[in-house]
Amino acid sequence: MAKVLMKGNEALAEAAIQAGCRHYFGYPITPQNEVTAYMAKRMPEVGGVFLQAESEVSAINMVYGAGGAGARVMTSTSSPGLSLMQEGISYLAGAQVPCVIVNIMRGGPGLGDIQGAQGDYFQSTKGGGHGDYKLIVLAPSTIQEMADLVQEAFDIADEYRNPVVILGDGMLGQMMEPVDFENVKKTKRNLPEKTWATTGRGNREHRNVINSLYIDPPVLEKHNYVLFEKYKRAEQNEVRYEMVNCDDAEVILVAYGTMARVAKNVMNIARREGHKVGLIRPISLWPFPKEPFKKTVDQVKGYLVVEMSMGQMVEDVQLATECKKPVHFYGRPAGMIPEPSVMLEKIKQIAGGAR
Amino acid sequence: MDFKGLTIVVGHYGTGKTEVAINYAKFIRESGKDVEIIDLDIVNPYFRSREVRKELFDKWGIRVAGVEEKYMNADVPAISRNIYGALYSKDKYAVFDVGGDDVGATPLGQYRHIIKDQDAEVLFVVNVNRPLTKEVELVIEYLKSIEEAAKIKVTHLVNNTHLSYETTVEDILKGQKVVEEVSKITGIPIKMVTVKRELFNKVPDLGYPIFPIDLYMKTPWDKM
Repeated sequence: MAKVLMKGNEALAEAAIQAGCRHYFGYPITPQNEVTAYMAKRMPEVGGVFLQAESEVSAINMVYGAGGAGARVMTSTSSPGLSLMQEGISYLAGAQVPCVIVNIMRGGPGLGDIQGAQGDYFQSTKGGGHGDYKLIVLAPSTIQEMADLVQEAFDIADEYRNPVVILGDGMLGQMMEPVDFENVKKTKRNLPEKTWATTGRGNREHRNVINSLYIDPPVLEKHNYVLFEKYKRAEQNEVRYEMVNCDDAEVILVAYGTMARVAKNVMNIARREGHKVGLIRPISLWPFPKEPFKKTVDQVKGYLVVEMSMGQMVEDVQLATECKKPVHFYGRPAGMIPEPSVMLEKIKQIAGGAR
Repeated sequence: MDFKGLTIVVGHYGTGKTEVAINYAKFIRESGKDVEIIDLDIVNPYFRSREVRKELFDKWGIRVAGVEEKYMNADVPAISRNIYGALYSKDKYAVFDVGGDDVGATPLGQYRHIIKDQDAEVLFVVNVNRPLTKEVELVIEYLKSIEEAAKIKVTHLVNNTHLSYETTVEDILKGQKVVEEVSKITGIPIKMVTVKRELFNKVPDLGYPIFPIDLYMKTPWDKM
């Protein structure tokens, strides 16, 4: 198959099907409805299950059930819907059920609006549900990367027995770009057999149970350590990022997803005007990439974090730089796009030594 | 190329109907006619003709009738009453930018009694780089489902095959082959081949009008 033209949302759905996902549960919400619509059309064609649940709460619990039975399962939603799913997500992490959760963010808080925004960074990376758990969070910035990362997300979920979040925004969900499914990038993984799945006892010695209830404190504590061993492994092996023009950079822009595309253009304009500007684009938001900051912190005058929010990832950048250099922030919420001219002005100020 | 008082642009989701509608309205405007775009897209939350309302009016004097501005981003499938004005107007030309697929074309059905008495052209836009309309049979399937939902007959086909910023002449030729076959099977004539302006002089003679397109639906970084 040659390249095709797809909406981000459609590409997410098709990539999931090509990654072997045969179970999708969801509830419509703008601006991710094309995922649901595409799944409704395509799942029956490939012998899979599409089910529109009565709410996001049911959808995520259906994910729990199918994932617990060992199926490759996905749900997708947008910000308010993800809030509704938080209890289920905590249970999925606690019971170590692999699944892929897509969040195509919109403006908030509350019902907010339907424009693309990035206000759910904290919710996804710091845990919107209760308890000590982590989600692996991947943030694509092109439609091709959306397809690539969906494949990767299913593999990571199965390897770590953990939910993986694809965090995009409405712009990525709605825009159209060429995408090539034949050349979807894939890491080679030896995925463990799902011996824990509830597929019927058969000749097994014991019953498989999917559960997050550990009533005995020392037992729960041990379970918590098991989870954190896993998260440590993810921090070592699942960090992803892109660095552009950082070798000689005095000012480095930091942005993910849609915002990184605007930032890349601003970087190019600034370069043409003679400013040494680079870009760090975190692709895994958790585990957050610390290396690119360690590599550049001594050489730069400062960082400029740009987000379509009031400033959330900026805190991880401050941690990654250990506050050795000024970390500036510019962002706009509500689906408004941060102004390139303001970004350029700030770059000049930082290059001029602003702290 | 001739045009009618009423042009209705339909097609599969994401084929480029809005860009075709806007550019076609501009073409009508350039011949000195008063023209209005009727934004009937209740399917897409972004990238709709109503979003370039100001630009089209300031630059070309083309009005976009659709949902009132204050409800523009409301997530409700509302249609403006102003549409009747455009439909009944004797001296004004109108281009209907209809939402994708049968679902998007459904709202058109309510105007069928008015449309049938008018001098109307129904353009079915095809992009074979959209995976669900990559083949002749699939295109015809969509064409029929839209005709049924909108209760209207397609009068012309438009080959708008493209691959966004990666479009080559080969894409257009590939699309042309499919569209010609669809035309042969259905008996519906081909109106034009739409290509982005940069490729306008590179497309060989295909025996149909080549219509240059300027893009209006842009991502934030395209606008820089």
